[in-house]
Amino acid sequence: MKSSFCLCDVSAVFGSFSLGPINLRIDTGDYLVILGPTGCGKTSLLRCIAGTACQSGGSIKLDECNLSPLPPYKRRIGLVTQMGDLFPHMTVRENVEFGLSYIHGSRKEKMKKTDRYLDLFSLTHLARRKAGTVSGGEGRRVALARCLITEPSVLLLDEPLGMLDHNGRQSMMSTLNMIHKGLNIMTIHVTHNRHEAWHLGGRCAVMNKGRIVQEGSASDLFRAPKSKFVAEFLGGENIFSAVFSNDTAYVSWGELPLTSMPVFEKGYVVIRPERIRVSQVKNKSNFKGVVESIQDCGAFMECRVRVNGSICLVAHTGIDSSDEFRIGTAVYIDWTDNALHCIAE
Amino acid sequence: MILPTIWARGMKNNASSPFRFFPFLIVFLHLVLLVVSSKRGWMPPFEFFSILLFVSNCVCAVITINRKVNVTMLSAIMLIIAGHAVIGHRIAPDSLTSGAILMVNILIVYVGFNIYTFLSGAHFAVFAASYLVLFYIFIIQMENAEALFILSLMGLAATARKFSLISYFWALVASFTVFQPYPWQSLAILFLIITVILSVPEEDRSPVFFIFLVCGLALLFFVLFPVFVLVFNEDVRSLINVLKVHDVKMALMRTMVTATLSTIILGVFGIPFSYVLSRVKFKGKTLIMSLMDIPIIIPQSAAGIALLRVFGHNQVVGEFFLRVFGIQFDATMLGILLAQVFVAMPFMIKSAYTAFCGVPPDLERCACTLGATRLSAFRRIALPIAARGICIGAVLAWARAAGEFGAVLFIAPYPQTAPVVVYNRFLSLGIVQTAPLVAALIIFSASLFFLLQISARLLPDIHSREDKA
Amino acid sequence: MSRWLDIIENFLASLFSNIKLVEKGLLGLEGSYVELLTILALGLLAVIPVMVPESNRQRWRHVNQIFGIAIFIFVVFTCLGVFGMIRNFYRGLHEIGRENIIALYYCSVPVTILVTSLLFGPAFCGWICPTGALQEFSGFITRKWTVPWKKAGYPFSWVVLTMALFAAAVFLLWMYRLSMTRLFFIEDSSIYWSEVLIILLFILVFRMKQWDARLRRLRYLSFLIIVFGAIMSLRITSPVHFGFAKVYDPASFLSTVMVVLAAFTIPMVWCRYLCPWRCVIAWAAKHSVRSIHFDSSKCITCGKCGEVCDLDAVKNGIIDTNECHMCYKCVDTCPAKCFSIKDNWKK
Repeated sequence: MKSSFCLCDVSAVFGSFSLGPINLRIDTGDYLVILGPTGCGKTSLLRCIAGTACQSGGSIKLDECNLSPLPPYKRRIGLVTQMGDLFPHMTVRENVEFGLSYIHGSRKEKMKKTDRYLDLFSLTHLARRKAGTVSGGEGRRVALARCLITEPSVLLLDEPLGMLDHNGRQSMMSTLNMIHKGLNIMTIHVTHNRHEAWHLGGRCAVMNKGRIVQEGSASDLFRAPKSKFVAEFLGGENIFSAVFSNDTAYVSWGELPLTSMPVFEKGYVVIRPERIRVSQVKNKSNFKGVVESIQDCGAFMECRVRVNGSICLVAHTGIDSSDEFRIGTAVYIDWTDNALHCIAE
Repeated sequence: MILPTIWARGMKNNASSPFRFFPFLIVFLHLVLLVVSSKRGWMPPFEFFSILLFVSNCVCAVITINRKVNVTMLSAIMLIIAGHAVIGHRIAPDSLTSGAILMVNILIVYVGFNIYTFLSGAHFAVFAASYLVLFYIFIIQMENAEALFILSLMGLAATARKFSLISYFWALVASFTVFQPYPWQSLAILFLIITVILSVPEEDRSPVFFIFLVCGLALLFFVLFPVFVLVFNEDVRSLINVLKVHDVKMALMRTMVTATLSTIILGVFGIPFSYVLSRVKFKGKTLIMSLMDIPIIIPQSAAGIALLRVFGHNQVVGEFFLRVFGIQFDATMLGILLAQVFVAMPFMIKSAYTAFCGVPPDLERCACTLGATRLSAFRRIALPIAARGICIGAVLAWARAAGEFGAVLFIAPYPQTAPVVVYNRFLSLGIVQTAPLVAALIIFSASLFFLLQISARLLPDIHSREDKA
Repeated sequence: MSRWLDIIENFLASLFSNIKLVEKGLLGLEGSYVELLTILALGLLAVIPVMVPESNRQRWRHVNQIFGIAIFIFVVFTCLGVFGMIRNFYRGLHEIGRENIIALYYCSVPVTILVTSLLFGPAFCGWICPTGALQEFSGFITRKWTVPWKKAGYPFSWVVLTMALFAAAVFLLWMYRLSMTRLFFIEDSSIYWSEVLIILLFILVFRMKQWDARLRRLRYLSFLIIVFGAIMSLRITSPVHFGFAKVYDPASFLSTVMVVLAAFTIPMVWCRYLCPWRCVIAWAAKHSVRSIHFDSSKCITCGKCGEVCDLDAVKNGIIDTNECHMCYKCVDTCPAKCFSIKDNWKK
């Protein structure tokens, strides 16, 4: 059965901070990642959806049913908070079982279901431990199991990978993938880490100051940010304010030829660092610079080149480039045609 | 006599030399000397010391051959034995007393040498100073205390090598000499203080902490001392006898029942209230929180009169209750309950408030998203987590209610509760007759209080684990 | 010769003339020498364990034990009984500052034992204690059965059960006879202790392996009972009171007999499970200077030390100071000479 979950103009006020209005729509099987810097209202949004915080306007609709006036325990929306919020006085099993006690059903069935979920999240060996004693990653899994056992129609995840070490991250990531693929549940995943968005795929939305700034697939957001904020937040470097005319972007340090002219006149131009070529040989390049620093980033070298004495361009070069350039080497810079992206002001 | 030198001579021989049996020769010579001297009348035959000297000479001979013992120490011991042999009968009137003193002296020398050899100068200084102080206390200060001196020297010998042991030893000695009229009391308190100080871990032993700790402990001593004096000074039998008095027994029962009832009342009304206080922000919350302290601030007698002014049977409210429900507050159990609830309220509510503040509200929100209603989240999440704090608060409130005197005296002097009984007894019979009752009360309530405290602390402590995570 | 002696004496005496001399002999109750004798005797006995030659140490120890019994049979008022010591210590401390001689009289035995235990290890238990000696000597007789029983890891054994039944029968018969003529008070508590012993015997005959360690905690209970009794000034008679106090009361004689009979069945049963004074000694032993060191590099794991120990205090060379009596049996039997006696003043 196909169902959909909509936020229509949801807004809320928390003291001096105001959220929204926000419009979102997800369908069965969607995995929506909401990206945003700390303090942009991601957690508040989730709490509004779950009903533990009051919304001041708009409506939350599951199919045709308006959830807004319902108290949280009638909404059937699962929320996994950042710290997991396990009940420390219960064992892991009791934690997982907690939600079932509010659902009608026979004792035996509930036991069976608990066992199944403990097994699904590989928590069986922890079942008798007190919830306060499990590690961070295990705790998140318990929280997930506890949430999913009530079979919510929408799953909200608040920074499920935050504050975990590498191993915890890996196992959590695979668990999330399993939920996404296996249970096929509508999920909203909130995070400030863009790598998670790429890993988990699906749709992305970027939030800033209580509003959703851009929505789309992860790669779209990354390649074609609609605003300076999105570009910066998604790790964009080399963002320069520019004036566009005659298929050219005029920046403070030079003129950059564009393949297609944008519809606006003033804005920003972004040069993707991985598309920049740095070489000592002048081929068709128009810019000359001096290497300021080279940093090994594992898969590539991050090379900062000072152009025209004032501006630093960041370029990602091959891993052997440190043999080629030293700090202070004079180099030529050019880029492929699609390296430039224009953003309206 | 000439023993030490000869015997040291024996020491010099190594194992292979023909002189290695020299000590036996000395022993033999000594035997001859003993026999000859007793025949000639130089010494009384089989005098205790001549025999002792002979025996110790034999022992030394054996040890010299085995050569396992510190030579200097052994010479010192031999010197002491010889000295006792010469002047022993002047120090003590009979040889057994002298022998006991000798024994203790040997022990002291043995321990002293070992401390000097194996331990730091500080240990030895403490040892020597302790000896002198003990000598001063028992021989010069106290009359006829040689017996105690011997005992305490033995104690010193056993404990001098460890600072912890010797501090306990000195606590014992000091409480039985300096704090003489109250030895057991001061012993208990001193042991408590020493245990506290000694158990401070090595890395925290800074002088500042030490001074602060001593300041606090001095205060504690000041507070505990009267209590301990009262408790320890009473004979156990008189305590039991006083508990058998019907009035006292009834009053104790009554106190327990009313205090428990008022704690239950406070729990029923106070716990939900403090939960709301901890969860909800509203105007005047600070005001309410500070108004809560009124029962602590105002004098108990004032509280009693205030209650009487309102709930007395000839006052408006009291009369209303009397007329409508037939309930009278003054001079009834209800009055006692009223006074106890009044004074114990802040303890219950404040501690429950703190306990609920320690429960993260997120947990309850989480429970709500899982399908729990607010009430059920309170019952299943907040209450169990805060249980420990609430229980400790309830115990405090219980103790406060049981010990309430001023307010109860005004609103319900009869039926008597335990504190009122104490007061009445004091008025009619005087302090001597009241002391056992008070001691019994203290023991009773203290033991009950600690029992409750311990059982409350047995509840799982959830917050420490939370912090760790 | 005597002239010279007099001169030296006078000189020394003049040196000490300004110091108050002991005016009266330190005689305790009714002019007895009890306390001084105990100090002297215990002092000597404490030194002997190190003095005696290693070759025949166990024989010397038994001589010492007999000597201990002999001394304390003549000690009339201060009973060396395990209960008496605690009670007397309390009483003696109470007398400090009032009647110092009586304080010495009551404290001398417990203080001496504590002090020697703190310095020389708990040798009192293994070398002097008459109760322990009594049990050890009676244990010799039944060694034939108890040693294989121990080796087999304390399974159920008919022989031991028979012995326990015999002890119980003696107890019940005696109680029947006594009950016809007298009423029992709390002062007759030795009866209760012997009752406990009988019950213990039956538990141990069937469940020795499981319950041994747990039942040893009973010592703390009996310690508390005695301390409480001392504070309440209840006179609780010791089970071996009879032998050492010239109190010919049939109840305490019965309990002495019970201790002996129980020790037939399980060696040192009183010391293991019930001795209250052992709590104090164990504390002193923990802090004592002298201890038995075990060199594990020499050990050939023959297990003889554990076999020979009456108290099961040694397990593969590791000595439990809580239980050890310092009888040096393990030291003497060890074929590899793993054990050595060491004084560690820095401990």
